[in-house]
Amino acid sequence: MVGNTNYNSMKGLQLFIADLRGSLHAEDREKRIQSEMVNIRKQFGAGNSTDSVNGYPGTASTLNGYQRKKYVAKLAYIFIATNTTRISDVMFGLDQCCELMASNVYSEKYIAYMTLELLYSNPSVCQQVGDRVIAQLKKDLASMTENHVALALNFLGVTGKCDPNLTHELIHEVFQVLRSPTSAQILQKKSSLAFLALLRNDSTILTQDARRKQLWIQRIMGLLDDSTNYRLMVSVLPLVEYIAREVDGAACVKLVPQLSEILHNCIVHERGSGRAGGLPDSTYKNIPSPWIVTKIVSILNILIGSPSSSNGEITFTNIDQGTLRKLRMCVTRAIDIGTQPTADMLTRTIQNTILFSLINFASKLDPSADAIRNSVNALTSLLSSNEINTRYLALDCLIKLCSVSGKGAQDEVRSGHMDQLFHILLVERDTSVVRKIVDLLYTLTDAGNVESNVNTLLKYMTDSKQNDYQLRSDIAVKVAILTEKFATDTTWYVIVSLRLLSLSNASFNNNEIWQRLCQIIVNNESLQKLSCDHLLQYLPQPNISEAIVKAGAFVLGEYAEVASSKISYGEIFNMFADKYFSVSNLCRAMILTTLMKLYRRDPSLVSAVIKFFQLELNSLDLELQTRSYEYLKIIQLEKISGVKLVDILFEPMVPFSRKKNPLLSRLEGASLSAFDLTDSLPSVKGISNAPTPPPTRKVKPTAHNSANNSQPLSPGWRDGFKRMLIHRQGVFYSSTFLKIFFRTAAIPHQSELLEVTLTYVNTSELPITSLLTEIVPYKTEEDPPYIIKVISVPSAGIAKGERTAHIFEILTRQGSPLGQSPILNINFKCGGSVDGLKVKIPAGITNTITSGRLENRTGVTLAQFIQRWKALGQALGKEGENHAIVLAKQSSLEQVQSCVERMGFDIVEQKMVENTIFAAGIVRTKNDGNSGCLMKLRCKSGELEVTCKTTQGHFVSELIVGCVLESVS
Amino acid sequence: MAIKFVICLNKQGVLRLIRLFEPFPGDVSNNQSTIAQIYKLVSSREHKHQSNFVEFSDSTKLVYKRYAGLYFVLGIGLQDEELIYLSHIHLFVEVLDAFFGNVCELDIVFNFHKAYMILDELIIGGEIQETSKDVLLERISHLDRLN
Repeated sequence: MVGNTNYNSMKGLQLFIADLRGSLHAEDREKRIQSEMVNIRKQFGAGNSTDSVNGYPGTASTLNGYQRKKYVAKLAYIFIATNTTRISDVMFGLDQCCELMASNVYSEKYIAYMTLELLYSNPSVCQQVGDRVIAQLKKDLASMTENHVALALNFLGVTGKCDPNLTHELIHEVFQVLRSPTSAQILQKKSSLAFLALLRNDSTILTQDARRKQLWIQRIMGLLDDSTNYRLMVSVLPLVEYIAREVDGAACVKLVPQLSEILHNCIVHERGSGRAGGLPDSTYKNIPSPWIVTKIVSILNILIGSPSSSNGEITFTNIDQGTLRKLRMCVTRAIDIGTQPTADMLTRTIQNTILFSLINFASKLDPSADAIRNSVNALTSLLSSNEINTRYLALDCLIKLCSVSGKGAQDEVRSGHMDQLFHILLVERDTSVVRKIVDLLYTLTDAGNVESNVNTLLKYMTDSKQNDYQLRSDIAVKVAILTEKFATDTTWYVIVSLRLLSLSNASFNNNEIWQRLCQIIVNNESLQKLSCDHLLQYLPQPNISEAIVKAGAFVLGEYAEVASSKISYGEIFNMFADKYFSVSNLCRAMILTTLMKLYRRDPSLVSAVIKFFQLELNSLDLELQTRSYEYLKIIQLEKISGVKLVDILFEPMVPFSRKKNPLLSRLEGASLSAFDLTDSLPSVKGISNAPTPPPTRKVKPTAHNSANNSQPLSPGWRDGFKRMLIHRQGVFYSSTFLKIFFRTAAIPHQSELLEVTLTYVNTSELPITSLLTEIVPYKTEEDPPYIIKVISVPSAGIAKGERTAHIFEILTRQGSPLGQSPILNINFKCGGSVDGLKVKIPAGITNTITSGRLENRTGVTLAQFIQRWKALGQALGKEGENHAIVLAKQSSLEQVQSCVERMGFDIVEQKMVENTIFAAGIVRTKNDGNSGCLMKLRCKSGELEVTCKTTQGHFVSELIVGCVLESVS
Repeated sequence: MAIKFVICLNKQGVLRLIRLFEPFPGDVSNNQSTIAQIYKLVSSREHKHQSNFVEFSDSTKLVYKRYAGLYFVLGIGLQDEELIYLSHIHLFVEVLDAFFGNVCELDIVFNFHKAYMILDELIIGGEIQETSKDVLLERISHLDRLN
């Protein structure tokens, strides 16, 4: 296939490469490179343009394009073949390289671009030729020749991150290519990734200009419109991913339904639907394209918070039911795909990519117990794979699942798969897999299985031939933490801890473990005798680990008296004296102190102790020498003065007060929350989460959504807003392209819940595309007044004259002023122009009103009304009342009455009082329950006077009056 | 996030291709030793008993695969999911193989400029650009025929 051998092959270059390969010795190669450099320098006429060498004219200007291309390519080869060390030697060719870049011959231009792509990450290169390169890039980006534009875009895609000037000078040009509907698809794809590279370099270009940000992001999201153009999608998704994570996550939330649709089509539909041949770009080797799947899941992971998230991100509860169902189906299907048997390695890899990607994401969808069980089973079945990558990633995925999905997943593994994990630990040869198993066991340990888990880990440390120091030390720390945290039996705790310390092959030279054990023994009197007894069994063993000697030196020094029934002080002295010469200096220093403590208890040891210290006076180690000298002096002073100095100087250790386990700081990454110091064993507490869940968009917590009141609403929004407040159905909004109808329905027996159906009708002459909607509540955290749940989103495209439905529910938790109503953002494209609407949906307290009549009771009579009115007045006084007078636009009392009646109030039928309407109703909120409400409306000389009383007092009255005034005004 | 670099080395640690989507950390004069460290790490791993993923620094992990005498190494962020990047490498090698016809190290040595051409059609901006082997081959042979 290497077709073109004449022009593109550059014979001189081939010869040069062959020469270098032919040179056996490094010096020969070096010489060949040097002579070539000299030649190229002459050809390029660096510094001396009139020389003529070897018959070649020495001026660069007389070089033709082919020659220039050949020499630049040679420089590029030298740069690569010397492992990039000769960068400074090839710098002289940069000018000629820029010259070549301006060539109109594709192959010449390509070599220039390729060479600059190689060198541009070097700051001195940008410095030297940056301006020329940018000027040429501008020309090429504007070129009519598609391949020249492509080269410029490739260059930016490669070097975008190297030079901030590139972003400032060229991002507009790149965006032009990206947004233009006439750009060839290959250029759209390249410009998307070039744009991404420039944005990564400096994203302030978007964040500093709110208008530009909104426009550009909308354009970029529009590129995903064609949900079957998978080829374009491959290049656009990474850009959307970056915007979602780094620039404006909130702006991307509305893509969730669309992305889910694409994912669903990719995973669930395409396979085996008979259409597989039709859209080859959505599959790879007959499996859903892993590139599309992982990117979409990655974006969804950024946009959707975990169920317990309190960062104000959207969680599964904010996603409409249809979308949620699709996503859950994708997870189920991915498990099917991932567990299908296959012999082909590549197919296996792709299946697993999809499986791991979706299982990692599944925890955000509030998975059912069944779903978790299926995930766990799928992953554990992969653990027996004979491929290391699969085992490694299956474990990684299990760890994430267990820490993010929490107890459900953990219990599932604990109940049926522990033996399998133990088995893998003991037979696995790859350290990276062992490391993951250890992490997983650590995550899974609780009071119920701590003994078996710790025993298995200790068995691994004893039996394994693995000598990865880091791993052993890591396991040791984990065992120490787990035993301390979950031990229910003190004897077991001491035995295991000492066994851990005794593993001489553990060779951890960290002191934290025995120090921690000593702290706990000091703080727990019941452990002291037990520890002494066990230490006395360990210490006489030959080659016992130094950690045991250290712990023994300290513990027996402190508590020798509780062990003295079994062994005399003299014997303890002899035991340490034996060990003394086989341990490190630090340990020897500890033993010297222990000997002093023994002497304090048994003065008859004095001569042996003195002999020992005298011996160490000659020690080469300064610490040991000093310590021996000082201890000798103390004994001498005691003899002279007769005062028991050792009693004062070696008082028993006081309990430790440090609350934090120092071992935890060694466990980077696995961040269990700080354990309490085990002042009293046993301590059993639930394990907290271990590794970090998949990254999610960071949202600054704000009191209320700034997006709710940031921009002006579309003109004429108020009419529809009012209409929806009064009527059950009608026209909500009309624009030149789009007409929106609404229908509202209270859910039976749950009047705090209102179901709203909006129907979007395309009234234009052209199809509407990329219709994306988003409902922005006033606030979503800190006790929000209402919660909006989307049941189904409108379809993204509406053909001319067609319609699509948008259904959502408003749950009123407590009353709130109408001003805090949610905003509906609608974005769409029609005939190439981008349009948007921003309207308000009423979330008023009167949404929840029910009249007595609806509940099959007769209406209120005037007498009843007056009686209740008085009763309320007596109970709450003026506090429960709200009163307002406005100029009434509604001309007649009838109109006001019909309006109030439509809102849902019960009108008292009466003819006794003129110009007055008496209305009653019940409003309901989730948090505060029912509130009876009575209202008096008086129309007089163009003024409307409203008085309202409610059983819940002034605030609710005020809200109701607000709604009524909004409706009738 | 995304691919930080693509490197191709032979069994002796000689660089065959290098593509940096962001500069290596530290001074440029260190690039050579960074490459040497990558080679040391990757070549020291037993490919039968160890996975194709290894942490390289506190911000980068490597996904690599050996094909005959060549190591193909991608540097990615610690948060990135490793497995998909193995497919990137595989696709790159498949395309090289189809273009050169049973590719070997010498093809990449003598035609390094064509190997870069292929890479530029496959990955820019640290992200995959095209995943269809047929589309890639058609495009590359078109470019290769241009004067």
